Amino acid sequence: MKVKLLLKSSVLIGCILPIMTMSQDGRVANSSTTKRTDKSIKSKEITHFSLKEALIRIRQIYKVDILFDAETVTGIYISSELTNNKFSSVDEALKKILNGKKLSFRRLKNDSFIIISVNDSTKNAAATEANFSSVTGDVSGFKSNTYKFETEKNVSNAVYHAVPEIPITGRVVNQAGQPVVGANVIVRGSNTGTTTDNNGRFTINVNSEKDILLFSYVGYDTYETPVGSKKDLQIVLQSSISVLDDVVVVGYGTQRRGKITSAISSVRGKDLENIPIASVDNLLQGRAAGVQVSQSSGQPGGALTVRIRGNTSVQGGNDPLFVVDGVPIQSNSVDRLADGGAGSNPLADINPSDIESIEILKDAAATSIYGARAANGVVLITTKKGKSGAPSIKFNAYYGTQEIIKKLSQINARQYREYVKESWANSGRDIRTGDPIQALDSFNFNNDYYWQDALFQSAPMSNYDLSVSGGQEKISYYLSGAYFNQDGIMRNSMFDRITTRANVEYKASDKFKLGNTFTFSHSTSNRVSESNTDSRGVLFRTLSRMPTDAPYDDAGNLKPNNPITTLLASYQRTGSNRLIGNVYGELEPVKNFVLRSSIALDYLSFREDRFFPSIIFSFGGAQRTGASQLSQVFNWINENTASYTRQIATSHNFTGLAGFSQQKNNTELIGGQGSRYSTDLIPTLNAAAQRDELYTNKTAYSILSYYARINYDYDGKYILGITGRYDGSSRFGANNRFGFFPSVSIGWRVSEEPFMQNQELISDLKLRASIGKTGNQTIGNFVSRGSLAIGADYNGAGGVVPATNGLANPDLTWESTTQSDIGLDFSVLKNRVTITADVYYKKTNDLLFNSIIPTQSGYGSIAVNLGSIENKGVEFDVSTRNLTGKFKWNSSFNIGVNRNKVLSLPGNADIIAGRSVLRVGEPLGSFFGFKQLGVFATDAENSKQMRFNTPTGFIYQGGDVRFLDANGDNIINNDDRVILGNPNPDFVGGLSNNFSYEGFDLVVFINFSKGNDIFNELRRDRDSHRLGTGAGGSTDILKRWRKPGDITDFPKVYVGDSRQNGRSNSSFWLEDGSFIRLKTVNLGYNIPSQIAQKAKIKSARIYVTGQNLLTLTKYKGFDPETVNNSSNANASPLSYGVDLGYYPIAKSIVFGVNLGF
Amino acid sequence: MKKFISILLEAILIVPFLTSCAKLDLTPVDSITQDKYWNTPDEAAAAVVGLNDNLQTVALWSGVWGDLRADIYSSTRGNLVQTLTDVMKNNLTSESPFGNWTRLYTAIGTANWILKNLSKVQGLTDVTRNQYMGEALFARSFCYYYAVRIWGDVPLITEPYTSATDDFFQPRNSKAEVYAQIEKDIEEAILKLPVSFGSISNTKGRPTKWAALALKTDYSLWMAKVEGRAGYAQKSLEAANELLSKSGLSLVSTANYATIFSSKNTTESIYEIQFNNSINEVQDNGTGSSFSPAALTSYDPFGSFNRLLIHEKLISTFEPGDARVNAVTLDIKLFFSQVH
Repeated sequence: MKVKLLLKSSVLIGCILPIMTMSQDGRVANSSTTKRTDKSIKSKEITHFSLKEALIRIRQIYKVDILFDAETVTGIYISSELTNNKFSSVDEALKKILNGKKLSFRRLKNDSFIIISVNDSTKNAAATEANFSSVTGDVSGFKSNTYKFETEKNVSNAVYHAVPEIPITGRVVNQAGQPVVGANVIVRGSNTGTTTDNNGRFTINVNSEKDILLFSYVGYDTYETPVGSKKDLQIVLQSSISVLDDVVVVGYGTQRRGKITSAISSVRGKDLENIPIASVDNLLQGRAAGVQVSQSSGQPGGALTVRIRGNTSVQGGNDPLFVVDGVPIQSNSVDRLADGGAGSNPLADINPSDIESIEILKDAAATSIYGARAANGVVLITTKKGKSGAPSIKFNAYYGTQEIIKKLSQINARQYREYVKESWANSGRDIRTGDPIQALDSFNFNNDYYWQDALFQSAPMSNYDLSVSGGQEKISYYLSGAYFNQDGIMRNSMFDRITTRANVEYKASDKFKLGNTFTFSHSTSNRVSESNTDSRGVLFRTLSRMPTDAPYDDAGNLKPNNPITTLLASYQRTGSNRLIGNVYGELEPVKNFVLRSSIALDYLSFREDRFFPSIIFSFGGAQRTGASQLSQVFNWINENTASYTRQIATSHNFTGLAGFSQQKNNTELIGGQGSRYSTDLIPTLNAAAQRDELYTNKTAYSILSYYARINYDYDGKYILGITGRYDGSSRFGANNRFGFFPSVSIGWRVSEEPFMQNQELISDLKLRASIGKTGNQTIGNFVSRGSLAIGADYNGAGGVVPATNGLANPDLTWESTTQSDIGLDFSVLKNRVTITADVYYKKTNDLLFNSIIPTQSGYGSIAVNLGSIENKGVEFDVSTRNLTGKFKWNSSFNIGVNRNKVLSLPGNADIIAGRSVLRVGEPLGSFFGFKQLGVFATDAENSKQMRFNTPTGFIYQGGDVRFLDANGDNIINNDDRVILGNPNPDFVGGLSNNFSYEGFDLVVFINFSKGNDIFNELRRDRDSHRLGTGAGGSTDILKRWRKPGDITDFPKVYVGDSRQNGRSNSSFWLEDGSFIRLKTVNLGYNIPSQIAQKAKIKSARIYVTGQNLLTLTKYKGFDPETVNNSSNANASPLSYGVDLGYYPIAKSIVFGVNLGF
Repeated sequence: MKKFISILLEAILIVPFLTSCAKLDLTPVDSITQDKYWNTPDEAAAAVVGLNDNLQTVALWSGVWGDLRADIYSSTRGNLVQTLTDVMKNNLTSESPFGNWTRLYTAIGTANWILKNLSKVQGLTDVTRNQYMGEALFARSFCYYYAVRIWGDVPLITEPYTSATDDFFQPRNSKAEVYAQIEKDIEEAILKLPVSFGSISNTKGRPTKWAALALKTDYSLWMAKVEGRAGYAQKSLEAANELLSKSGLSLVSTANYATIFSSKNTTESIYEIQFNNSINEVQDNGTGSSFSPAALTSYDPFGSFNRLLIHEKLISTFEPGDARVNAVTLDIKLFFSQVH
């Protein structure tokens, strides 16, 4: 039977278009008009159109009739890219889509076409032409489609529906004023509908002025308006915020937000655009609940600390795993020659503008697919891919300046003179010949120099990036190049970076595609010494300089041996080359069964050069020293997965994934140090007369893994996920090399239940729960083997001794973290308020410890699995759309509360490191020391005759600090140390408000941290008089105790702090590090498209962004964020939250443009 | 195209499943593990060099453990670090770094490791094997001698630890047991050690028979005088006599007295732990800034606050005109007048 189909284009469009829009984007429109229909189609991913659908679309766009044989076109699909192309005519469009399909067409009349099979074109053409006038509508083709429209049963009648009478025209545009092509226009309660053309224009006939028009398009809120008397409507669609149908990237795949049963935070690339920062981790600050990001150092290109749901480890590392486009990358600093500080940031090798989205996997259900590396969470970074269509060219640029946020106080020369004289007098020191005060007078006390002025500068920063993306039938591409350049707010520091990216995908056939993601970047920087111990530490030393001295002599030349000279004369270059590339192939031999294989490389070459010319040293003549190192990290990883999606009956949906992965990391170093350089002019080692050290190191680790995941849901209501990974690592002892990391999660989408259908309030409600296990393998590569120490030498011969941690432990294995999570995803008022809440409990066992053993064994420590830690917390993410009209206002707020506690330790004994303690029952990194209760006003006030340190120690007098005598023995010694504070914040979070009106948009982003204590070592160094001649400290010194009866908290001053009133572990230096910060303000204006188009520009936006504009904090240091947070390998959570005088953070203002072509 | 695809598929899909390229049993390239050691004479030689290297760290603290506690230093110019002041004033607490025997037991551990494993090495001559054993025994007795004098009862460990599951909490042994072990080790070392090595720096820098005799002399004196053991004064005398009569060593002339400190390996030197193979010791071994005679080094008065100065009372005990005083001490008043 050959039944022909011919429909008027204005009919039935309402039911056809949602399919089109859905298909184009591969996801479902979530407008109220289509809500009821989601269920039937969401399980079916449509990547191709049927030919029939395409023909219908052409019919609508060009307002023509197309006649075709339902049987002839059945089963023929065309790629969705084709339908997005713009064609100059119907003829061209038909030619393109029929190409290679053994079909052709003929024009019957001006606006009527017929599709014919090539094989029997003559016969068919004749037959169709003959029947043309007597065609009846056959809608069987639509019935077979899974899409259902309320009025479907009436469709056949609709063909001959009376033609409505009032023609209405109009144009649909988005907030930026750009036309929305293919938007759905329907007359409510009728079958009448149309779609907008390439200019966003539409024409539709209505029955009366009272009719209501509905406008919808995927990604936008549905807009409805009565027809009214206007005949030409201007409709502005607002982009929708509903996240439920977003595709979320998960480990080895994607899932719809609505079906996710784990705790995952997503940050979209567009929220991160136009922010003047260098690296992606910085972008995450305050964006996701439970994710604490701190910028320990403002050094351009410097590393940050990212903590997801707290610290799980003492010595095994707490950094999350970073995965870029499926490639686990090197994210830890490889610095060796940095002088203190946080080190360089390998994540700065990724251009932030290339990022499409960032997903933070937090609970075990989300992370256990990454097994032994997932205990600290996983950050998935997805870069932009090409979308089909004409090339889209984007150019972004900004330029601006950075300033120091604040400077610290400094006593002046007169105050300094009094202070020094007083301290010498108090000490009764006469070791210098003659009168020490007289000796001090040899310093220039009339000079009054404010040292910080010589340290900081106003520094420019700029960024330019250009990208081209697009695609055709078989190929899609995203290409970009960018240049970022930042001078530091401390002089003589900079970072610049050039990056390129090429992400390309090629569909070789319907069943096979291959592609790659590839980035190469080159960056250079000049660093500043951030040491707090070495005399080269610039900030530390500058702040304790005497105001009577100056870095320049009278002639304006730099003087030797001062920190400003170190800052300006030292040469501390880094050069980094980074390649992250991934090549993959995907084969779909059977529908819904996909085999995927990839080979990825992550190559980092990091070069450091350091040279200190003679002027930096005050003695010993030409003591020039230098060092160079080249580090190479080479990672290859091969992943092979098979995935299968199956729907049984209509309600049982299965997705399965199984995979095998192998990875090898090789790290190599070559370096040397030299001294006694021949000249100041050559900073490289070849000029060193003495080669002090030469070394090469080679080390490696490998990982072999098998993993699987099954997702099942019943009708989208009851959801189950099971994941497991079997991981093997070369790092562990032969007896414990493989570990298994399973997880299970369940979800109940309450809002899909029938009893929830008759209410409007709750648009989505999902309860979920998960439990699972993950691991942490961050220890040295060969620690379990029992190594010997190389490099001992005696009398010119090389020697070998057992390493201090050199006892083998073949039982050594992963830290294992078991995490349970209960979560809630909740939307009300048509998704205007979306809430995600999570409660979690994380327990980490088998902590990797270099357990201290009695040294009479000949060894210092052994690597063992001992001890446990818990983290528990609550997280909230709330997004609201407060105003949705012309003036639009969206907010999103997140807060994460985490409580950390040490549950057990090796031998359960305290582990004390300086001012920090690891104690069972207390949080990691708890501050430990002497609690300062005040300062004795008089000698008599020490009524208990408390003594210093021993029963024979001196008796505290007026002006000495009254420390808490915890054990009441009237002797202040180490037994009186108590827990003083906690560097872990009570909560951290962020609040973002986005406003838009007409062409203007404004983002105001705030982040905050509450309750974290900071040990202000920088202040102690300045103010504790521990330097022999007294240092030029802060104006706090003016509050010092000077005579009996003075009530103050600042003790009497002694040379060298001989009475230890300012001891390094005194609570006097502990401060509240809470802050609330206006992190980002971005104000933009979209130039109206009419104006932009005159300049041949598709879109144009100008903006100004301010970063770190305002910080509210009681903290006395430069910034509450620039504290040591153990982002470098040398620091463990045992000692963090300490302000070691790292490079301060800048505030910046930049001006920029976004152009689209 | 089809062929291309099939080859590609074979390459990227099938091959990895069949052969896994990443092996988990990796061998370190830039380090060596204990189970792969003790096969060749070279390895034995390197271990003994390593032991001598361990003794350097002991030597660095010998001044702190010995001289610093002996009232021979005055205060210092600048500020002596608190931990050293604590030692000088005998204010030691458990927190003091110098109240820690790690350095001694590290060397003892290495000595035990050598003594235990030497027998595994093939191809060692008896002479060399004896020399290595002698060096290890000397080092062990040298360290225990320090330990027992400072702490009294100490754990006596003569076997190396080999496993992470060993018992690391061995209690202290009595002084008598430790003394017995020291004595046994010294006597054996005297028999096994050579009288000289191939180079002057090794003859002075590594334990010889003379070094062991000197140790025996000192040890026996301690036993006689401090422990009050009978017969040890005689043993001390005998050991000293054997050393003086057979070693061929001689005193440095008074005029060149300072060269004992400023250069190294003089004729007077019996055993002198070497620090830098190419330059003078006081410039390089770290004790220079605290202990070496001030007159012999130039240093930055503002840069170095650790310097100890010999107490004027000690200086005053020298007979007037003793040339040694000016060779190794500094006129403090003169010194500060130069600084300013």
